[in-house]
Amino acid sequence: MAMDKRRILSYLSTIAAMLLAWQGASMVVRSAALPAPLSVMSSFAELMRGELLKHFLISFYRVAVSIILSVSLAVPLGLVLGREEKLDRFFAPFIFLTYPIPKIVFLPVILLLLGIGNLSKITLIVLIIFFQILVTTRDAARAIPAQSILSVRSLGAGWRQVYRHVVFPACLPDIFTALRISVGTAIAVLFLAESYATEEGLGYFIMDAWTRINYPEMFGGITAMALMGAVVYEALEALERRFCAWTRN
Amino acid sequence: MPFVRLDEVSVTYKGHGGEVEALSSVSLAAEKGEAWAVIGPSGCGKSTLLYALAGLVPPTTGSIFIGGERLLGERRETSIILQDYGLFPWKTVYENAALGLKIRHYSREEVARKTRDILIDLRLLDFKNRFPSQLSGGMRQRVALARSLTLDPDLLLMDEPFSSLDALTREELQNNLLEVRQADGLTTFLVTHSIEEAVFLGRKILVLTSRPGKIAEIVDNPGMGALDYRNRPEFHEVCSHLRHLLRKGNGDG
Ligand SMILES: Nc1ncnc2c1ncn2[C@@H]1O[C@H](COP(=O)(O)OP(=O)(O)OP(=O)(O)O)[C@@H](O)[C@H]1O
Ligand SMILES: [Mg+2]
Repeated sequence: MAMDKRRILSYLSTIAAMLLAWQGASMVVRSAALPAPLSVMSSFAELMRGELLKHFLISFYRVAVSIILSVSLAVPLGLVLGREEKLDRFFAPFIFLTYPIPKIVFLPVILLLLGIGNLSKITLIVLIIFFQILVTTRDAARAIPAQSILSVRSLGAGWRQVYRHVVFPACLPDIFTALRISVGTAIAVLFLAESYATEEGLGYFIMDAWTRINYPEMFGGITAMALMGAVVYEALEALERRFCAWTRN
Repeated sequence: MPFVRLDEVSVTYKGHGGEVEALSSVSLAAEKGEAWAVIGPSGCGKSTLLYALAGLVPPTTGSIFIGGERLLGERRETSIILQDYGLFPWKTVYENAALGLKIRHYSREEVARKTRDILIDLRLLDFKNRFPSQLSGGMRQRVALARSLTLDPDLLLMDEPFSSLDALTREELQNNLLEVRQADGLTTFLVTHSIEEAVFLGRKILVLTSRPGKIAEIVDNPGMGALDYRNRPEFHEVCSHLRHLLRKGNGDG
């Protein structure tokens, strides 16, 4: 509980410092392109009661589904490739060839094939963060000491139990690290994907406000995006605290 | 009929860097309830011998019999404590100790009861919700012992269980082990680097040569078993005999 209070306090003080710096900057720049925080906050609050909330929820939904989908595909595959040398030898070249390709170049093809709705956005994000999580998980699974496997096998564990009691928990901290990095990527990619050929999502909202030179609205959209990032990060933190308690002491 | 019998057991590892012969033609016979210590230079195949006894590594040639049956894989009644204790840092003391029972599908009540009993015996109950990283080395060692004992083993294999402990904790745990052994009539194999530990805990002491490990000698140690054995002259005689054997083995290798 004390911990939570400290976190809230540190959030509040960070926000206060940021607002102060922002206020200072806007007073120096004196341009409509950088409105003062107070006017942005009030327009943000107003927008969130109306249109902005819809775009926020749609973007949030896309990010959340993409993360869940990527994890449930990449983690099992990464664990198995990290442990089963024969499979790895077969698949590793494929991964190393495709991992470095900037997947964003597929956006036009994906839009063409999957349309401009949720499916194309989610596919693009999954395509990108799937590899980040896969590679990290695979490397973590490879690094498990042989002794740990022998230890659980000596207790009579079959392969299922080896994965459940050793391989998965051993890799979990690395999986969370990969996830945190992926969330940043996911939001950046989502913005890009939402900024054209669509009329829903924060990316659209921000770009639309920009073309209308409505800076308070644009910054309201940016604030919503920051909020979304913070919500996802905090959710990950909470999960990690719950499932990786052994790493904190 | 001996409880554990090895016939000309050799183990060769096939890895990326070619073949490594770790153990060469080891034969021995251990009676039920007997305490064995295994000693030899680093890398001579001591751990390999334990893995073979546990059924985790199959002999490349030769065969192992336990309780009259040929060993073909892991065996329910064998417990092994690995060189670094083999505890899982992501499981609490309780979860670590209960893992063997859980894997073997004991009922929930039975897991709870057996685990609790052993944790009490080894003075660990107050620490049941801690993670291994929050324990001292001696406590971690006791958790590893607890996990092995929950399974009611008839054969207990230990790979340098006390090597990273301070002298006093080590003696205390050695005494613990001696008591557990005498109460249960367990057959034990204990790998160690310490001559004194081998003599204190081994009724028979298997001395291996440097790699590939062959039997240099099986030393009989009839005085073993008394808590005050460390202070007796026979103890020191056996120690100096072992020291001599190990020096000679090292010179040859
Ligand atoms: N999985 C493996 N693959 C290839 N070689 C191995 C493997 N495990 C052990 N070895 C080799 O086999 C030999 C015996 O190893 P082992 O671990 O049994 O020795 P040890 O006597 O227990 O050594 P220490 O006293 O240092 O623990 C060593 O040379 C080691 O490098
Ligand atoms: Mg060893």
